[in-house]
Amino acid sequence: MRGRFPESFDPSRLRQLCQMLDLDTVSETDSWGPEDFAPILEHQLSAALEPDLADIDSEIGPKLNMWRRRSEHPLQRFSDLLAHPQPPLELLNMVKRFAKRARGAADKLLPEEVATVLYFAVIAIGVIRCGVLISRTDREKLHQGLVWAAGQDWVDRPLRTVLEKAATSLASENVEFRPDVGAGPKAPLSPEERPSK
Amino acid sequence: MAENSQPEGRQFPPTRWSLVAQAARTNPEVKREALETLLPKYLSALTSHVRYRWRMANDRADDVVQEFVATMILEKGLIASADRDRGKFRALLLTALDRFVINQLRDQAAKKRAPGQGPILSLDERLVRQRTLSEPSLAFDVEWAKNVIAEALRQMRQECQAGDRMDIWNVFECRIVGPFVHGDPMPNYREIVERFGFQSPSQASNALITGKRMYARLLKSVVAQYVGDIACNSESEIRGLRAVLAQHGQ
Repeated sequence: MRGRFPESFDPSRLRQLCQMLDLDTVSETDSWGPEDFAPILEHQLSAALEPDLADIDSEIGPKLNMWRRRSEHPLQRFSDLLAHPQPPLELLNMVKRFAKRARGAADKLLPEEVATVLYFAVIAIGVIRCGVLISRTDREKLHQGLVWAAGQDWVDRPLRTVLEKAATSLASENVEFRPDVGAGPKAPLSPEERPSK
Repeated sequence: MAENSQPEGRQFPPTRWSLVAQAARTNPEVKREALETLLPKYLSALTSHVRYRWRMANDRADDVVQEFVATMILEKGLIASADRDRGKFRALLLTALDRFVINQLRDQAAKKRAPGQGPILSLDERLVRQRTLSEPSLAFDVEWAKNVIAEALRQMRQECQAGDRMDIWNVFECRIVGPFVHGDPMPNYREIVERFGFQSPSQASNALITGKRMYARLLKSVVAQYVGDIACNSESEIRGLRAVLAQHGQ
């Protein structure tokens, strides 16, 4: 740490120093700014699923192993889930809950905007890959959310396409989706897949 | 960053001022220790005030402040008798210091005058006195605020070191201290992740949020050492210091 503070009484420096006495700034407000949204989303999608979902489901490790054995597609990172041709609905629901928690938590582990895009991204994947709605929110509001997420200029093109496609599907009154909001039967773990105590 | 770059003699004491000041009135050893360890932290604020307000040379300002501390704070128990619950600690110190300086100047003037002339303040002195006692001191308050911030940062770094959580300190220093204290450009998220190797946004945010909360807690604790332990006093004093910097930062 640099030992001494600047001697200057320069107004611009005092204005900066003022932030160090703003308890809201130093403790409660968002940690990151809008310019960080794109790299944060990119980083989130490249992050491993297991550490972030450990608080959502204590059996996430064995469950991921089970899903990996059942499919030849990788399922290590968030981006793997979004790219998966047949993503496990239970896992989509876990990520939805993770995003919801990150969006509303006092800790603000993700900027609200990024968490919201992630939230709608997994709903979109459920719609276009599984024909399932993993949300109880009515279709009109879901559609609005998907359109909002697709309209964020910091969301990359592939994800934007997924969001737009889901919004279009949801807007079509001829298409019905099966509901699944995470309350249905979970993928059962075989005895050998359960974590040892 | 160098481990020992923090200047010596700039640490707050573990106890509150009032307790040390009370003890110093009866115990010479405590008094000596207080002079050496407790007060140097605040001397820069007091000295800055004397230099700028009274236009004294550095050496002379140092002497006056040392004398003020020894006489008014330690011998006469200025702090111990202060009603700190009212959160006027800085104002009390400053007013006492200004009165002390005026008395010193008057004594000097009296010594220079020929015998038989009365100890009358000159018109200039009276004007200075009037102005001094009614105006806030930018130099004093700014220096005071800097000391409070520096001490909270010093304690935070020490706590992180002791808890083997220098990752928290490093992120906080990079994202908060550098830009706000030293005027460095603020590193963006990508730079922070590359520098510290965070595996996910949750991990990065966790480290930063933990650091910010730790600093806020220590900032309140440092202020509580002189305004008292009541939380609202600390927050009110912090708001007051912030208002001073904001006012002069416009």
